[in-house]
Amino acid sequence: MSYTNSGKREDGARVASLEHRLLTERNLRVLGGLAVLGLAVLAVLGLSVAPPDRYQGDAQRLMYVHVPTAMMGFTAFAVTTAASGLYLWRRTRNAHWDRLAVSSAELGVVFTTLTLGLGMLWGKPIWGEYWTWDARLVTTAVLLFLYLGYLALRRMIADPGTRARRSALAAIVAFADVPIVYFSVDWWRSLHQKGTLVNGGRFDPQIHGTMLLALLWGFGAMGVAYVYLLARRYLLVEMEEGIEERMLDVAIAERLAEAELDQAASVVETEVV
Amino acid sequence: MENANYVFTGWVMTGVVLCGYALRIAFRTRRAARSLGSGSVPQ
Amino acid sequence: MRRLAAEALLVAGKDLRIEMRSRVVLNQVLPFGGLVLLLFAFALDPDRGLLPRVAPGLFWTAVLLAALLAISRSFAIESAHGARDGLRLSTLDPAAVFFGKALGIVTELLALEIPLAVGMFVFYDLEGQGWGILLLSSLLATIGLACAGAVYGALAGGLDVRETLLPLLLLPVVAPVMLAATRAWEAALGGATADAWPWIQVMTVFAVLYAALGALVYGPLLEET
Repeated sequence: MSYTNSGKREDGARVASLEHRLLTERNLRVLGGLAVLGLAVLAVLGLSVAPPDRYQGDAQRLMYVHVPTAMMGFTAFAVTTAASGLYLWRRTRNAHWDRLAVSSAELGVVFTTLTLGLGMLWGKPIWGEYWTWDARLVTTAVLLFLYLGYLALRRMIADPGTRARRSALAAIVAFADVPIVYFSVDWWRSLHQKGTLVNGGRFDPQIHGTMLLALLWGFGAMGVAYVYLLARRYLLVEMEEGIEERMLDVAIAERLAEAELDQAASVVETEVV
Repeated sequence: MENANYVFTGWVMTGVVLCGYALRIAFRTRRAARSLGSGSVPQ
Repeated sequence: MRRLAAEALLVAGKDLRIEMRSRVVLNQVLPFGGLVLLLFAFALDPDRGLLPRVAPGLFWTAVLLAALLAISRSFAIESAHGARDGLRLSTLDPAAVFFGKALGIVTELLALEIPLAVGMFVFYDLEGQGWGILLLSSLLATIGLACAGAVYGALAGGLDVRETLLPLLLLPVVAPVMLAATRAWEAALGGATADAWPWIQVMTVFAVLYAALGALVYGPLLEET
């Protein structure tokens, strides 16, 4: 890649060069390979090595993907929020935080949607229904909407500085809400569940042995996949912002050229007269 | 395996979504690299 | 602190004066709220005795939808005639601008809620009780809605997609307020006022949090175009 662009943007954020020391193609390929390998091993662990659950049978095997994707969904949001904060704080203001925020947000949408889908597939055989109004599912659904709002807001703002600042504020304000959502829904649902059966979909904290191993491996494999995808997405954002800037430069150059032509034409006119 | 439908659908879905997303990024990256490398603005 | 209050009242006063002259909330948003309650009756068939049971939820849904319009309107008036620049160039403290906007929205929402509630009690055939809880929870919910609304209204402000973006941004965030307000009203109308207290707490936390966030966030927010 030959395109480089360093310097400051109008919002004062420093724009980094597109050449990276850590995010080289080779490193990323290795990381991608590790992600694929990790997920493949997870499949083996989760689908055959781990024994079927005593109460839920084989349906419980979805836990090995569902819980890790949920974890990564929440982590991605936390990363977006932290990056937003770092962008807004003058001392650390830098465009790369903004790029990290949007990349992580998009990943968060992917992981959170997966989480909800997997949750539905797990719920149907266990609870008999695709959806249940328990605190975790509802909070995850709200989280998805918060992400979608964040991404929609970004799409509507053309100026990079304004876009970065407003979406950073939106991310932080939304993040503050998540605990309130969780606790209020939890309160609400616990009031409705007095005396009912134990929710079979609940994460059993007493699992051990190969099941625990598979789950922990799941966290690791999904974590690697998240980091890999995040890095790739980040680089893409960099490139697309570079294209944006260049398009702007071209447009400005065209305007200036037009203006000069107009000026030259009017000079000719006055001379003729 | 009982409930094999749900289990396999879930796992396959996970793989498909993650790979699909990775491919989407790769495709868009290639397209962006092309327009950056050409030194001109994409039409 | 005094200056903050005075400036906030200045901003709120401006907004309310505009409303008094244009009467948009009164003539457009209030009927809209009434229509929503009417349509719910069509959707849920009054003869089946469902309406009184779900009335609190329907009321707060109608209020929420009306609030979206009122909040959107509150920021639409800033887009005209360079008002936003005027706001920035005035030396008003951004936090005061926030509180002023929020106060204006609170006033308008309360003005909406009272007639809507009265209409609902009449048309859905409700028995009024637990008035203290009803009033307190309405006040807290409204403050929370207005504060969050003032933040997101400004975030989406100036964009021509504000009408479609604002609901998407605001609704997930105010979901706990909806939940809590509905449960509090259910407790009050059902005679079990003690059950309302956890929900009052949730709404208080939300209102305080978003009031604080709004005051902090308006500085950076008003900085740019």
